[in-house]
Amino acid sequence: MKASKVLLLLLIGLTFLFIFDYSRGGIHKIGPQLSQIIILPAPADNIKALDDDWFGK
Amino acid sequence: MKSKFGSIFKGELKNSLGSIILLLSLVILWDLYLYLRRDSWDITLVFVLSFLPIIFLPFYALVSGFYMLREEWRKKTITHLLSLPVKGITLTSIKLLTIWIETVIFIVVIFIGVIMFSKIALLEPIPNQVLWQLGIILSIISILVAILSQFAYLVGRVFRYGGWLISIWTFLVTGWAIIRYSGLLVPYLSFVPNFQLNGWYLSGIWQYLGDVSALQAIKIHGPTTLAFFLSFFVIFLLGSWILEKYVIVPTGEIKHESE
Repeated sequence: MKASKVLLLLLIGLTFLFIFDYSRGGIHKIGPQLSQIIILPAPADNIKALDDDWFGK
Repeated sequence: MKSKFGSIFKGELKNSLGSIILLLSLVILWDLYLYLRRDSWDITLVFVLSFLPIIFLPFYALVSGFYMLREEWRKKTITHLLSLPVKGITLTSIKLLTIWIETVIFIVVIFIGVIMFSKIALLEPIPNQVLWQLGIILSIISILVAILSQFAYLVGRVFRYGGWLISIWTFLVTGWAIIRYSGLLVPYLSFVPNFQLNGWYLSGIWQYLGDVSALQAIKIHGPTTLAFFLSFFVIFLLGSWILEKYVIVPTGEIKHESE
């Protein structure tokens, strides 16, 4: 099988995965996932503290 | 092999000299403009604006990743490069190293301006640790963006038609997949410790919000960060492999520019 065909199938697969994930609201999880890496300190009562255990839930 | 690496790397640096000079001139012009405005504008604003050029770093890395490879195809030097006894990973590493050097030069010049304005605007000097950490983070982000754009361009080059469309598609879909699913590796990397960064620059925001007692340490989640880096490393390896084995090279007259 040609490399271009394999790559095209992979891209189509990832696109379907994206559509499936998007339809289940996955796009809104990108923000919390990025903020899982960098946990900013939150001043008391001003900003809601970010969840420290996002992947576990 | 070592001398080939050296000669290709030297050629890349020579090619990037123009963009380095352009970048340096733009940052110096921006700093000069701010310096001339120091009396008419609020001095704290001038200090904050001296950080502004760092916003363009990821965009620069994005464009560089595409552009450096595109030039090889445009000048048809890729045919010559791939005929050399070097691996695909050597070629992609050289390009990344060049982008990293450009980024570091860019960051150093921006920070010289920042230190200069901090002396005018602030009562206390910026902690050295803050500049080091910020510089390292910025250069890492630039490299990650460059890896993704390099990979996207190389995937586009596997196809005879619609290469640009495929590249943009690959960039978006792969970027999304890494952010969304690299976290699946986190449970296997729980041994990686978390670490902290000095968030000195947050103190201004906290003061604005009326909470001067808030912590300034930024926590970095070790396992998630490593999972993120590993995903990019896999993309880098995959891109290098595609370059070595599957890209379509242009035919016709070859210009030997890298020698």
